[in-house]
Amino acid sequence: MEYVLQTHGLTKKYKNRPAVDRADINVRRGDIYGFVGENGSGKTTVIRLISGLIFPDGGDFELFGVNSRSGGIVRARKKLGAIVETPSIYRNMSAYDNLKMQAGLLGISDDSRIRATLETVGLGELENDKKRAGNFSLGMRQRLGIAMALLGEPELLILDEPMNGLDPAGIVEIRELILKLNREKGMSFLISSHILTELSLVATKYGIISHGHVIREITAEELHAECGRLTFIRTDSDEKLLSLLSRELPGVPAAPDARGVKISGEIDLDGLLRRIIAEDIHIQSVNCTDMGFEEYYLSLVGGGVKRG
Amino acid sequence: MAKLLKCDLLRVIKDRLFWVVCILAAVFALITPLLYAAIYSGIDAVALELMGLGMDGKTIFFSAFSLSNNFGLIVPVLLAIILCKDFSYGTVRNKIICGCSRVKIFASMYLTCAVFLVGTVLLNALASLGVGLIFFPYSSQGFGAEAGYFFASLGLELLVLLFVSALVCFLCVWAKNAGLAVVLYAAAVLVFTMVTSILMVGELALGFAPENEILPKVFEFVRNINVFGYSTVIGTGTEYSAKTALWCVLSPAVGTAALLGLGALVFGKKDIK
Repeated sequence: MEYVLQTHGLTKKYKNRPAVDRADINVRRGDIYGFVGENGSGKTTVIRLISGLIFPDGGDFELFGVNSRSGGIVRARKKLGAIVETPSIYRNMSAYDNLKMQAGLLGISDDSRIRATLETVGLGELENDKKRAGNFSLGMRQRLGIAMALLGEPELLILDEPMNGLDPAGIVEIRELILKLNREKGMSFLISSHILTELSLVATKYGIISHGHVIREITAEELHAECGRLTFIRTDSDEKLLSLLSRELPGVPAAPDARGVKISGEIDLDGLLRRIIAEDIHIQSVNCTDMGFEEYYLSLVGGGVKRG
Repeated sequence: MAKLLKCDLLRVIKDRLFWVVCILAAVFALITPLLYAAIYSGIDAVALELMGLGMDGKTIFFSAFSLSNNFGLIVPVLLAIILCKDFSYGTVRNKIICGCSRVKIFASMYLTCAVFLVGTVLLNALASLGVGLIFFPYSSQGFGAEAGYFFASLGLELLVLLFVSALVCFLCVWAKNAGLAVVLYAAAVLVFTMVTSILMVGELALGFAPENEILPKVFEFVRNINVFGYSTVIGTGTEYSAKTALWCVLSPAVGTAALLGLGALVFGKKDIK
């Protein structure tokens, strides 16, 4: 399996506090990698490290097989496109001029590529518009940023919160664009987002990061299988139950919850209940329900599932 | 590197502030000689000449290179603001992400700054000379007799401008913020101008204490390395001693190399937001 990006123990500290701590992520060619995490979890820091905007305090990464410690990493980035946080655009220039500047950097002399890229992101009407990018709406700036990242036809496109500021129609357009580029050009994506349901419509693999740690990497198929079930068991001792679960079902996420101990994923409930009774733990109630991606995510990062 | 440089030159040309710089160059080129003409029309020119305060085209031309007043003070500040937009807009990220090395990005920034600083200051100086020649002669000896001195002085002034470009670029990449870069540049100009004034007063005072042997040497050394004070040295006479010429070449050249090296080092290790 060919990887376009692999990080190995990537670490970045700010004032001696780790923003990213030994992060390992693996993006295969053709993946749409959903990078999920709460605010301040370290998503953007990982993206900045990969993009070369900041330097790691530990670990390294391989981009298109080139190690970040080698001199070739600068050249390897020529196959990379990225939007980091906010789109990087010249606010005093028009959309066309911005793309013209980017084309100059990339050595693209063909103006038709600029027009085609503007069309691709739904900004075709701005080709001859002298309106300065600083006066664009947030959504238009986001589209222009995506256009600039796309212009060089990168093999890996990193999008940091690409749906920010987009209206519902814009979100659908960008989602379809991502799927189209992935399908038709084999472009790989690393997309960070808070909007888990939106991400789940495109991602083929997920990396879940919390407090600087990548706590889980999971394919969409595996996630689908694991998301199937949530089981809540209320007993007279959560501690004893959690201890039993860690012995009997290692690797199965389980955490205390308002409705008892929450167990994520498909389990042999009959067998588990027998083991609980055998351990002399008194069962008070058992509830089973289906789990969505958000609940799965919260079960991993330790957040509670709120219900009305 | 050529692609980067082309982009940087283009982004400065497309910046409205650059056109403000060009307009200012034209305005100062017109106003400065007119002011001199107005002032000198009411004063006995022969008396001023005898007092060593005569005005001529050469003085007008080389005063346009002074870094502590008029256009020479404004243009590096405005260029710093334009260059720092790469950081405030975040567009420097595009350059890094698309595979440009940081050394090349810094080098391109420096060359861009140098091209526009030298270009606009030279434009201002030549236009000032053109207007000034309407009212004053080039010099008492005429341009033909001083052509060698003129071109030598011009070369030395260009070296000073290359040094200023290096300082502006170093401050831009160190501060990554137009406001801070401008404040630091203005502070540097102020300090070095003060040093120039202190040296002038100090050397005058030393005339009354001829027994002191160390201070004159210290003053001389500081004056020699104070590139911002070269406006009192370059273009104000008719020839250079070998020692003066050497210092005028060495100081800005060493300063430029040091600032460029330091700038590349700082930018090479700096985190970009």
